Amino acid sequence: MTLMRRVCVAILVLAVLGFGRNLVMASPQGPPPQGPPPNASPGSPAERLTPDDIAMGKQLFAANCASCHGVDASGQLGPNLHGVVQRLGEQGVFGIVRNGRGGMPPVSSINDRRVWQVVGYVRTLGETGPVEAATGDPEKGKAVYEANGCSACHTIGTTGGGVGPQLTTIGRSRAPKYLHAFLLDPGKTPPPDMTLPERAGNTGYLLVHVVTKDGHEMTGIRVNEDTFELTLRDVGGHFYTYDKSKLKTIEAEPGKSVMPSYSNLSATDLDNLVAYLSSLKGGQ
Amino acid sequence: MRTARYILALLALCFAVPSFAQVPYERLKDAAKEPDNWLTYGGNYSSQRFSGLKQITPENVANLRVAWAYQMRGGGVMESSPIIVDGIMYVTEPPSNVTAIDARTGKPLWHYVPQVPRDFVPIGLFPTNRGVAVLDDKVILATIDDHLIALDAKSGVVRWNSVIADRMDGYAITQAPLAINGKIVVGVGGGEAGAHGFLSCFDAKDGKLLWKTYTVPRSASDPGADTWANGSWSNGGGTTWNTGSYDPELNLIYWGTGNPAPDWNGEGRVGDNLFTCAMIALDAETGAMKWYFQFTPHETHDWDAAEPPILLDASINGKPRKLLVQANRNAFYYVLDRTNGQFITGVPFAKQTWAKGLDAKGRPITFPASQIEPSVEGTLVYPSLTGGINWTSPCYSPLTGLFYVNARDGFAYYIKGEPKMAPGNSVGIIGGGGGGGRMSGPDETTTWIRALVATTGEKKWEYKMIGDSWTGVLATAGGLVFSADAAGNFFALDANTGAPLWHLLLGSSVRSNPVSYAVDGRQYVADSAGNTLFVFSLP
Repeated sequence: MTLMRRVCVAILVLAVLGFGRNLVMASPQGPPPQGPPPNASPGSPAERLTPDDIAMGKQLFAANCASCHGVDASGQLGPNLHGVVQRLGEQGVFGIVRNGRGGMPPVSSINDRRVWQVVGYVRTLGETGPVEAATGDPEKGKAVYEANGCSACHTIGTTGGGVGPQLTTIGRSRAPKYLHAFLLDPGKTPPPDMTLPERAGNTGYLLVHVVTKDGHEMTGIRVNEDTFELTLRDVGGHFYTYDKSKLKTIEAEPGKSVMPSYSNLSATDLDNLVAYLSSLKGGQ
Repeated sequence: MRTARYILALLALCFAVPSFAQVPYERLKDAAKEPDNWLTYGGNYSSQRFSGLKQITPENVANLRVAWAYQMRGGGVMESSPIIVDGIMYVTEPPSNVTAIDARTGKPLWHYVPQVPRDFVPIGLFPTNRGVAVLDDKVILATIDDHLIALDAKSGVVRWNSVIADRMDGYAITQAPLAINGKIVVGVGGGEAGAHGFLSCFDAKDGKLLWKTYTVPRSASDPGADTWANGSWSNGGGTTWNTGSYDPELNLIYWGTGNPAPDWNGEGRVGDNLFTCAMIALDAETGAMKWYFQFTPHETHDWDAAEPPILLDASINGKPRKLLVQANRNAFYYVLDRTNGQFITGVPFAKQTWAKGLDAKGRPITFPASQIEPSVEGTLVYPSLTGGINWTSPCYSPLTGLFYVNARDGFAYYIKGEPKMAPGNSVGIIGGGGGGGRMSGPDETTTWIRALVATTGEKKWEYKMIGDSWTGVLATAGGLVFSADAAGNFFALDANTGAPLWHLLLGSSVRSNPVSYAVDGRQYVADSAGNTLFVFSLP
């Protein structure tokens, strides 16, 4: 249950709910009441906030953002946010919150001032520097990556396999701490399902074990499931679609992963591998 | 001579084309007697969504196939419940467009697009439309920007256009109006925008306002004002955003009301907050409130009571009773006496963790506030903000005596925010009111088709779906129940047992209420998925 909760997309839900879905239409735009005008500097929106605003931003973050970005915003399912305001600018981050990006849903359920409070809180995180920088050697880590056959399943740039997620920009989206923990126990914090928009919020890379009524067994990564059918994918990339009425058992195996644990690596190799992955920011 | 021949030819044409027939009130009142047509939003005034057609049965439903499909002209998701009159279907498209279609072939006949201000973005709801009403020679539409528009059923031209409310006050409308004897009744949405709920009634002839009844106090001397501390009734709420029902004999209109404002934080509005999250019964002539029953006093989780009230007559303890039943968003199923609003019984129909039960009068016996009230860090409560059920319609089969509902077992972390409201403007509103919540994800939510004994709420059977389904339920005299799962599988179950009999993947999620009708002796079942309306029949 905890696992499932963790992988759930954080959805700031709306009022909307009254009328329809949980994800929401664009919120009416306009300047916040006491809020500052856009692009004002000095005294930009997030800078003008009071300590009380920052405290509220922290609470809002904990309630609405932490389930994906981590309690300390160092990244979990969503990216590490330390320094994101400094890198993308206040308006940039404000826009991402409002419009969504990648697997992140647009947040339109809170007013502009609340968004600025969250942005202001996240800004303070960047001012103190990253929570934890990777300590290893990226060059040596690259060798570890290659020696362990990671590219059989993962693609960096244009090279590698397609069983696991692409890692080209993994350094932007995952903090070293998360990567370290993930390499030791990949099933513990599986990434969210990003394959299809309609599957947003589902557990990604969920292993499912099925037994057909005639005794055939199969374990694969869940690609799709509805009331009547289940589609699994094996590590060879083959898809298997089952009529659920012909299955004897269907067992999800949360906590397990098709990716092996790399706890066999030495501490140094692991640190170097994490440093290499953290250096992957794409577009360079 | 030539003129006479011309007139004769015209007359002959009139007789040769039976379409676009008149729909006098008597036909609406007796809608159950003509199962070939689907004349009101809920199928009849009782909102039972039961089709008397029985050509499609458990034995032959496996042969069902697509007869035709209609793709909407614009984008978005179709949520419209079609009206079918003598072979003509009227369906709506977002935000407030109407299309008339040949119900046999799917060929469009006319299309009406109202002028909706392009800059209008309603607060707290999707700009969609759930259907029209028909009366006499008119098709009546309520628009997203709060107009009530009567169209000529033959041509789609406007006969009158009235203003229901001011969109700048936060009002927006997605519902189908309700046509009764010479009158059009319509509610309003906007409970997250500081709108003050009301029901209004217009003359079907010319669109003149006949009466308007608010669901929340408008002054300190209004009924219910003493249930809002410190004049907090001025915040509003109690919107009437889903279509209600009508009892012609009692001449009462039944309508569910939405949340008090602001939502998710009740600190500033201590008290029961009448008449929010309630069922209200209004005299159709005057709009005077005959009775009310409040399901969720002092509501703080967005559990609107807007779900369709289903009217049915049945025996309770050996006595014939006129009942009103509702599967409420708060996850309880209620049985009321619709003559006086008296509570008869109520039981949960979906998972809930907020009340120990209901007392003898139907008032919830809640768990301590610390366990259920929204908090800054989030309080885990079942059901979710979307509720045990939301706007989609359940149905009732007089043949099985069962109430069929698409029930949701899901939770939310309810978050408390700042209770500030400013009508018509999101400024000052957080979470569309006083907070918000993080809802259970698809893997954490289960939806079911549940069959309840209508008079008791006792569960007869249930059918599990995968994902978060948002589809209404249709029951037919053929012994079938139709609905759809989150992935867009439209399916038929055995109405007596819940056994799955047939399904077809429609390729997008289904967010509408299925209906059934017949033309030329052939039964059709219609439901939409994504932007497409699918119509099914036997070969």
